[in-house]
Amino acid sequence: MLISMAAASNPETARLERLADEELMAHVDRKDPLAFEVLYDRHGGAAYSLAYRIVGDRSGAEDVAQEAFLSIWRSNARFDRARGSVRSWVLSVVRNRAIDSLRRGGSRAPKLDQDDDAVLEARPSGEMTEDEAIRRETSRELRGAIESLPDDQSKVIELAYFGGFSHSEIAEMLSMPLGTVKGRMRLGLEKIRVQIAESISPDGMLETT
Amino acid sequence: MSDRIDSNEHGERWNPELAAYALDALDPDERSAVEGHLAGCETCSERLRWMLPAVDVLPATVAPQPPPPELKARIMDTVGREAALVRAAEGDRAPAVEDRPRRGFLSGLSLRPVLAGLGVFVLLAAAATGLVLSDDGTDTGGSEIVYTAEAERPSSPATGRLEVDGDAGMLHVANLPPTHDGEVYQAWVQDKGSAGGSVHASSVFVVSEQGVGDVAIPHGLSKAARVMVTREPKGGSEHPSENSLLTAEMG
Repeated sequence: MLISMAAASNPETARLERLADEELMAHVDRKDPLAFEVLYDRHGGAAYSLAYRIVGDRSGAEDVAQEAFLSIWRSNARFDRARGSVRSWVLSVVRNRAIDSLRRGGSRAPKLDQDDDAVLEARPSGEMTEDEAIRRETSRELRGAIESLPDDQSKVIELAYFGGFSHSEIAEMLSMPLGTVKGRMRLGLEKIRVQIAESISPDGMLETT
Repeated sequence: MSDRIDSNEHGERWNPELAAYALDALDPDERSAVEGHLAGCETCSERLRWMLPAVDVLPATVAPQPPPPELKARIMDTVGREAALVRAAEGDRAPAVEDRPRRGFLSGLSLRPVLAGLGVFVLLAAAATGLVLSDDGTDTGGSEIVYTAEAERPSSPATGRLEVDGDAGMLHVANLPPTHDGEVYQAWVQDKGSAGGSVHASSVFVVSEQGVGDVAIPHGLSKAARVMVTREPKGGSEHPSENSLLTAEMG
């Protein structure tokens, strides 16, 4: 197991790194910057990646990720254990901020043509940390669940989640009835849910790296 | 719940709504209707819990992008400074803001991401007000210096109090009109200088319905001539959009 420089030089950081996310959040709520740094180290990469996927440029993704993490730090965004894991919550904060950023900027053209495989291949695996390499494989496996959906189902899901479009906006965009859009969202999510069933913990949490 | 797909009439009616709700794709009225239904329907609540991991998995399908190291440095710099302010407000003076290691805050960076990250920052208003201010606001003890902030327009009832401790401080405002949607108040720090020093963007904040608010000024006060407040678009601005509404002259 790799030990970061921070952990090696700071016993308190090493102790915090052994805590589960939910325990770590109690320290963050008490305004412990070391705990917050551990939280960032765990989820900052996924947060930045999601922000980049939604806003489509590095500067915008940095703004979104920074805004989201500082919102979490300042307790403007509250973690609710009942709503899911800390990671899911952090990413939902990032997603909301990214969608807000798109709306503020008026650039809401759907970004459905991003080739995630090309993004992955552009970075040789030798340049990645072990954690990044695992995330890369996880991303590929999970993306397989999306790609296995019929196009009409994956499109409405991506427009809603990554584009921030409402079902009525999607219906207008794709010239289809509202009921059809919601029906495709339902079918798509149900198929994804069935495909990832093995990755769901007994308490209903998604287990991803 | 098992991984079966519910096909009864209730499910046919509500499952598409739940899917759109889970994807945050409902219009506000529809969202309220779903939330109202969920409050009284355990079947749909359970169905939603079953469905949510399918939404939670979507971020994990994104190709990982390594965040730039400067991003963490910027975030942690702000976090470190604000943590120090919180400790100061709680009466724990060590470590002071000035003693914290600096990690190149603002160095080589554009102002825009910094502004975006400042966000609306109402820092533990109750704690700060109760612990830092004395009853008459003129003697807070320690090394703090208190300045009065006055409205620039004679007709304005706005007032304020700026407490400075080293390079950082806290501005307490009162009688500022609440901002409209899409607006925030923003603090500005102007350096000392014979011809008027540079003006630097600081934190953005909002006030209560009573016009009361508190905002931390994380840095820049040790060489400041004044702190000003303007009304700006949400997210803050790089340069003031209007003349100062409230100014604390620091001599």
